[in-house]
Amino acid sequence: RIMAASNSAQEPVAKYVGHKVARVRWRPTPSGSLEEPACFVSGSWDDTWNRVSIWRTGMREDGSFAGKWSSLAREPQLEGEIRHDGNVTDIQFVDSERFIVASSTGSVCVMRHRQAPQAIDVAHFWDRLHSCASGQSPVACTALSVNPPDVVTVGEDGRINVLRIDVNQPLLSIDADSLTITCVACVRQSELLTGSVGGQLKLWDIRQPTSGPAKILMLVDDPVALHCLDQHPNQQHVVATGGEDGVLSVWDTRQERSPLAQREAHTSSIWEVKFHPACPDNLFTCSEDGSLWHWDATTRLMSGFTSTPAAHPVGLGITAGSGSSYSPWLTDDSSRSEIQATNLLPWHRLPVHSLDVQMRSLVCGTDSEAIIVMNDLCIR
Amino acid sequence: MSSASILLPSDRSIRDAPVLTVPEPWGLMLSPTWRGGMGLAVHSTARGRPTSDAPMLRGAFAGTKPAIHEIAWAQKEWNVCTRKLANQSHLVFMDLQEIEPGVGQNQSLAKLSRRYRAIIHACVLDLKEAANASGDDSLVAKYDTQCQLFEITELIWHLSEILFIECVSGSRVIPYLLEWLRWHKPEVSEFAQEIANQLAPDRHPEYWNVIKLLILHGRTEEARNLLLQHPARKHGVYDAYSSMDELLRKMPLQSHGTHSVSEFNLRWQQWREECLLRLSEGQFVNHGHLQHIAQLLCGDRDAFCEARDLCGSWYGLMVSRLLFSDPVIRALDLRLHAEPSMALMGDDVEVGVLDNILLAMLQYNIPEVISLISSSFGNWWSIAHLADLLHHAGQLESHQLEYGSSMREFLLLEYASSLMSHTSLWQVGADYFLQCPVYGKHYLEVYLDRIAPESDMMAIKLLRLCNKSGLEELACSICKKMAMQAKKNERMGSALNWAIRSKDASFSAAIADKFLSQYAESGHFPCLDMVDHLNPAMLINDQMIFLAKYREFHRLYSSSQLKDSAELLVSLLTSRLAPKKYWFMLLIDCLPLLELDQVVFASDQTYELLQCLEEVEELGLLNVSDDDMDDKAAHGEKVQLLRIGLATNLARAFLDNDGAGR
Repeated sequence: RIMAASNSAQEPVAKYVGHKVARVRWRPTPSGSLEEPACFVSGSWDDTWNRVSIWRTGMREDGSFAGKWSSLAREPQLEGEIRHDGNVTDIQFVDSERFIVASSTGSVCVMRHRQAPQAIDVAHFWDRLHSCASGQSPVACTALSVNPPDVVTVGEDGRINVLRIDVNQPLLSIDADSLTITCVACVRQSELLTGSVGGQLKLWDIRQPTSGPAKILMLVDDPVALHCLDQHPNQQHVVATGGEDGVLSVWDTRQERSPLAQREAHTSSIWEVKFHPACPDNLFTCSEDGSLWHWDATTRLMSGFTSTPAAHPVGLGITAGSGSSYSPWLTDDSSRSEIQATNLLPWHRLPVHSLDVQMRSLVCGTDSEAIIVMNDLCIR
Repeated sequence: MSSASILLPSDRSIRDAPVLTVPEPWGLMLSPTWRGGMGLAVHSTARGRPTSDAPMLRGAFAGTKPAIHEIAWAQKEWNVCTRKLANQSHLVFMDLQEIEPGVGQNQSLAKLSRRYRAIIHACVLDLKEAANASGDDSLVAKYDTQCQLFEITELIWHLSEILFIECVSGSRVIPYLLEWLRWHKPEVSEFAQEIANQLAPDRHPEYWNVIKLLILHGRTEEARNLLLQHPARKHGVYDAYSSMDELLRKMPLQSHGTHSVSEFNLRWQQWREECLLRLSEGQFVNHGHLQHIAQLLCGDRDAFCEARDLCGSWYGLMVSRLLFSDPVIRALDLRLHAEPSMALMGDDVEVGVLDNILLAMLQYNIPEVISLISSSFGNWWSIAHLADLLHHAGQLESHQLEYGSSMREFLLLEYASSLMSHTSLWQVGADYFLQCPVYGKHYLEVYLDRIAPESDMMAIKLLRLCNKSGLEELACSICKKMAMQAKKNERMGSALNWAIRSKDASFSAAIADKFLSQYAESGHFPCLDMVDHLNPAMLINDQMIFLAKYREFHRLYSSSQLKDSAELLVSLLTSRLAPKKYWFMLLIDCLPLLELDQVVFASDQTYELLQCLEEVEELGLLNVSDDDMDDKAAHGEKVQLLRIGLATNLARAFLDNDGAGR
């Protein structure tokens, strides 16, 4: 467990970058390392020319800040940037050096972050992976998921493309949905989960691409568009999604059909949802309504644990094994008060479009052209 | 003029509207059309202008290829620094709109005003840094101009804050004004620091100037510290230096209204008499600088005249002079001292825009201030935000415009429009429009309509804005645009989804119909994942209901719920829900049900089906062209089969009924 030193969290640092930020991603730290991440990538949207930029936080490796403790010294510094064709719609790291960028022009590219001198270059490029049926006009690639060496992309054409880095042609293309697919995750080695505008989650087995989805789960009463999804890092069957109505849904993919728990916090579209990778009892969502919520289920976990200890094997944070079946996220609404939710940006107004979290560091990108970094999150 | 020109309305004043020259032959008429992204599309046209040289014009027109020119605002005012300003000030602006009038309102306003100033100051620093970092000379010049503009804005803003928010009650204004001077002449502190750090401070060329400036800004402590370091100063000897030190030490200072006016006045009068006395005694005559300082302390006109270069500006001179002549002056009386101070600066000093703005402010002539700033600043940021702040402080109430909206609204609309002229700042602009009660919504609608929703994500953001602003019609039109786009891209599922969201019944009906005709042709339903999960809210017209029900029939049939499926099929026909062109298709669907061992159609249902078949034949709904004999024969065969099937079924149904009756 990672404990915050106290409740006196530092003020978040906002760096105004002069373009709307569509995606932010921490560069992964070596696995098993307890270091705070110090480097992240951002991608812009809706500008005369868009860009992918790489940033370094003002924090040094020992956790202190370079220079004074002023907010200026804590602002992230630009290390390099590259022009990008179209809006950036998604970014995912492959390893600590390479990351994949999806574009609204339907193309996808592998970019490489070079050190000394700091720069970004394009290592591989797939043109027009997503386009309309006639192939004439490209449509947006909306999301991607990385499962090295493979990459999966989805788009507004309702298609899933399975790519292998450095191979020009897609290994596999599935016409998977008659509506826009908005999000995708590689849930197991050969299994994909896609979420669509029709409020449906579809589970695909890419070993049997022609036989249709292995399972369809959906929002029953009111099928609103799903915008984002994230899989629980330890419990593979637990998946959180965010919808256009601002409702956070948690699903059990082993079961049939509808989500097990739904929580309203946002008044508008949730653009990204993230489990904390090391402490998955913490969840983060950001939304069009300008807020960023931290959902803390640790208290619920405790009560669940003490009430029926035999049925619920210990499933805490880092120590949790993937076999543990109890998840605080999958209980119904009756005891919703036990999940604490805090808005981390109560002062913010314009949409928060993306977030990423590692250790006690959170970074988010907004339509107010700011990248906001928080360094000492209270993670329990 | 060798080319045709058009005039563009300017964001400055109409006097210096920019003229743009379009490279088209002379004499042609230019015809502009609005296009998306706040631009114009201009093309030349020879028509509509009956002139004598029309044939020649046609000739000129024929000789050149017709061209369309795209004209858009050069977004020169927006760069990383100013976009930061726009986004940060948006937050303050929105907070400001939520201020409740009442007790403590002015304190909250002052706090917000300081937030604005901090943002302007940060912008100035950013622009300076950007200018330093840039190697491009024209860019540096641009940054420098903007930087100066925002420095001036900061100066004006601070004074507005003092005059219109902090000192509205007519309280003592000098302490605030001194702070204003200090804040906008930061080099004094820098010099003081530099001099203090030297081994021989008095050798510094600015030594005396800085001491005098510190005194003129009311910073007597710091002045004394510097004076203390003068080598002529002897410890333990009471000389001119000690005398001056004593005067400075005893000088009564008003810290934001701690003493009552009369109490302060009394102390200040005593102190001033002491100064006059020592001056007249000639204590400082042998020390030129000290003599000058003593004269300043007494408020001597000639001494101030001598110090005018030191003060640098008439307003600096005015404040310093008032500090030593009328320190308890009220804000409303400042106007009496402005012009004499300007005169004191000398006749050869040109009166600039800034001077006029400050003068108008001291005279509480807010319309003049607004007019001057709007016509000379070239951006709407400063005046729109300042006017809004003044509006909330109750200083703008009396200035109603003749043409509909208030001054505040007028300025906010201009600023928001300038935001909308940028490709990326429409979300910020929208919030400003929404704070304009009269025209805001209308403006917003027009501007949002010109933004092309390129992707689903963009469309969703636009829709959310529409919902927030109550622009339902625009929301529908955006959905329709998206549906058209999807239809063009042959994404029928998306097209239907957007059409349903657009609430345009006929559009979604047309797409639903397309689904059915695709089924009729191919025997496969398109977009099953969507059609299977149409929710009740989506069934907004008969075609949609029919599509959903017809698909349900197929589902029931394939899951062997034969009786239910037969019932549904008959009800689709008898309720007249099914469009007639699909009747034959539905009747054909009966065939396999008629050939079952079990009777699924009751006798009355069979009668209904027969009647439908009659109608289909009568109306010639078989949809077969007369030329295609094979097709015709095939249809005839199917009709025959149906007749036989239905007749047989009728008989079996009667038998069954009889059996049941017995």
